Amino acid sequence: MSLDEDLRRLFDDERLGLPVRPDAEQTVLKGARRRRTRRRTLAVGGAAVAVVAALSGGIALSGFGRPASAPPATEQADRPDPEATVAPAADDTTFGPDGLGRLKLGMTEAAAVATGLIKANSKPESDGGCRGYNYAGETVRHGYYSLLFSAKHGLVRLEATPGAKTPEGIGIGSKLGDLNRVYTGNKVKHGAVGERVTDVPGNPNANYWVIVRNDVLTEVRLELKDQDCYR
Amino acid sequence: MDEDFGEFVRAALPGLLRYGHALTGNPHDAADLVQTVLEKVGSRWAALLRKGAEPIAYVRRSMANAHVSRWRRTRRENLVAELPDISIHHDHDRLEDEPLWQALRALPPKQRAVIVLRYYDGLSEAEIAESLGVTKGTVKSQTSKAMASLRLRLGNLVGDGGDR
Repeated sequence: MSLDEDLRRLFDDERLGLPVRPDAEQTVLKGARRRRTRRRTLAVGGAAVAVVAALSGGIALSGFGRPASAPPATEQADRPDPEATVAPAADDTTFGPDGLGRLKLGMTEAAAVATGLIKANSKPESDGGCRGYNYAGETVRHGYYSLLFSAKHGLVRLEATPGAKTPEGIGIGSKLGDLNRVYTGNKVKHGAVGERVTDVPGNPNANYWVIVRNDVLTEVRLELKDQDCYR
Repeated sequence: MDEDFGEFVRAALPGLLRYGHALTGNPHDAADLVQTVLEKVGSRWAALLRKGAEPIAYVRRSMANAHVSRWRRTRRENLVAELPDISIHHDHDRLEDEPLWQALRALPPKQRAVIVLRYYDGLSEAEIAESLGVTKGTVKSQTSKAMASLRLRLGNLVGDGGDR
């Protein structure tokens, strides 16, 4: 069997089909109307407000991926009361511009471990060859990292804990509109669908990287622009 | 106008989701991709029809382009690969056990798009080049890179790399 035939067969497979959510059509129509209105508003007002597409609803039948309202792929869903359990990381709840409390972007793995604020993941090495950690108070799931260390760049990425806010007041649970308003000057960029990336005021070497579901930020990361842990 | 577009959406959705699934490699991103592109198309529906565009072809081309131009998506997939939460997908993506499906997932977006346009859409090199706005040379090189990496991965999976 040649690869060509295998590919044709795979793309012919009935399992490629996805069930359509009953309200999918309405979801799309609503989204299209919203875009049209926004475009007109912009054309008329001319205000240079950052316009970012808002994801809403979803159109594939639920049961695929995460429910839109659930947090994305971090362990935050399972994390018990953040006040009680993430306390060790919360020697500061200001997230950025250079870290979270005593945990700073670029610091070595050893220095970070020495703070007592983090613990190694049960899968200590990431697929990208970096070292994965979690906050000391977190319930750890295998392969889910809140912090990643590169041998070369030190701490390259850390997740905002629930309740932590950027100096501009953005954190998990913030509205997409707030993100756009606050970081307008920094040109919030689209990443993949549902992702936004923005410069960090006061730290030219870092990005804020967020995931948005239903117009709400479900994950906020601070990351070095220059790193070698993931693409 | 909405009625007309609504009708189009209703009729086209199953096929577009299927196409999105092939392009992105997972149901969740497929749905996101289809929704984003359809919303954009819907917001300019009248203008599109005036220009005489064939809607389905236009949407599919937009999807392939949107998929390729997601400059951060490989990074997202990479992150997701580190995260066992993807196991939610495993339960539902019924192609998950197909070695070829897994091998495709490892391709960069442009290579994957070229493969999908060729083997799903049955487009020629010239048509693929036009759809993606690249040269025929790029299509050729991306295709051969993609095929080599698929062969390599499948070879590793079956163990001996020989004929299957």
